[in-house]
Amino acid sequence: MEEPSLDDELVQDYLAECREHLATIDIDVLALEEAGTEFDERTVNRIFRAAHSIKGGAGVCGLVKIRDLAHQLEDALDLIRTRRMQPTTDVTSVLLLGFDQIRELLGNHRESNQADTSEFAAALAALTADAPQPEDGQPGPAFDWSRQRKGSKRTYLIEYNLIGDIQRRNKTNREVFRNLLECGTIVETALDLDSAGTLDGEPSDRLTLHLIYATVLDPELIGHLVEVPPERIGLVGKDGAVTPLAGTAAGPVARTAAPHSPLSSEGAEAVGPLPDGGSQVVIRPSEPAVVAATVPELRAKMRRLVEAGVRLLVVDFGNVRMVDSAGIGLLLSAHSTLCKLGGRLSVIHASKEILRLLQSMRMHQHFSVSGD
Amino acid sequence: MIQLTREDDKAVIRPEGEDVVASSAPEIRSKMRVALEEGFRDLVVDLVNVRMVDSVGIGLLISAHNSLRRRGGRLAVVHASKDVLELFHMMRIHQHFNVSGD
Repeated sequence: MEEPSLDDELVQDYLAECREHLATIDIDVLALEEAGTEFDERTVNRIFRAAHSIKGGAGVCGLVKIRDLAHQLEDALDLIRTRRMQPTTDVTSVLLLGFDQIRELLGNHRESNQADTSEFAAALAALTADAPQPEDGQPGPAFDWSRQRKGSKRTYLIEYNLIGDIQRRNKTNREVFRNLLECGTIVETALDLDSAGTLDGEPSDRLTLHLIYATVLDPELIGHLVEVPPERIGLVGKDGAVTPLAGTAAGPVARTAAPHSPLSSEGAEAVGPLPDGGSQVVIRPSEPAVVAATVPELRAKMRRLVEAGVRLLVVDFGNVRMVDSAGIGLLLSAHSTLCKLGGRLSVIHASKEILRLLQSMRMHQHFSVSGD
Repeated sequence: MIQLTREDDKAVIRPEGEDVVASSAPEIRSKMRVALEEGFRDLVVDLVNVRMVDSVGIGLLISAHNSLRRRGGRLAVVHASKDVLELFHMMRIHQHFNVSGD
């Protein structure tokens, strides 16, 4: 590649294009930092595309140092947009440093190929060394509720059945996600691996994806956007408690008690031993999944116990492999009912994954949760 | 047409001119089961000739991952197109098993 000359129209056009990209990039990077885990995917994509264009044009013009610098920035931005690296202040400072260096090099492009950009390279290497690599069976970092944006945005926990809700209705995942992104931010997603089954036996007809979604839409409208039944949409309170929308009439959603009817009802049936004459009972869900389909039976069982006078209800999760927002809603509603009667709920023998889920939802601040 | 080749300690499945979708899933699944029955614990799915993976396809990949993990092995997906990679990232699939692009 011959050295770019001052009169080279190609280079001049390229420089002008870069100036445009760089004019607003600092604002975008700072917006990322301010938003924290809830950053707008469009912002990070915009910065990524700017780095990508700067890289491409630099290559064409023979400006190798600028090209390499832009490439490193592109890689860093990719780590951010795939959520392997969070846009903390440390990270955004390095990004801003990188873009500043590009500005400097562009200002003196004829000598840019001899410039020393090792400072940025070292700073970036230090950051990306900490970025998590894909690890089998390790879910990503638990969502940090304390950074949830205040204001009129609401956060929902939505449970999609990707095969039933989306595919069977002839939509594509991309369309659905695009619609969501029009009206809010997808904060985090988590696939339920167990819902896919294994290669033995019959193929699973469902694939469950949990989504944390921040939007200004209120509970009455969210169902129309996501086209998922209300029992699979939970409204997340500021403390992380999840309240399923099923059964709510129009109006504000109660923050503590679930909208399910309280546990007391007709009929009484003692189940299991009642140790030391007290009112403590251990129950074990009969299915390995505490989910919308199995919740009614479990709720009925709990109701009977409370009617029989049980006040300390211990739920043994030893065989439970899966919990969804309906299950979490049931635990909360059971706990709320028991508290009103002077008792409480606790969950024991929760698997590592479920413990992590319950803790990330701050359930342990409401009722006792423990592992093996 | 789904190619199944055996390379040392791993089996490679490569759909040729087929997307990994509901209609092709049964055949891909049976090829995967053949590999498992032959004793392979590591499986590579090569998406070089695949444009699209739908939810049934993703479910199949995850069920393969689940089965392989139980046998102490692993699944890897290679040569995924940009669109497929983007979808996988959106669903955080890369946090469960290795997916890589061109």
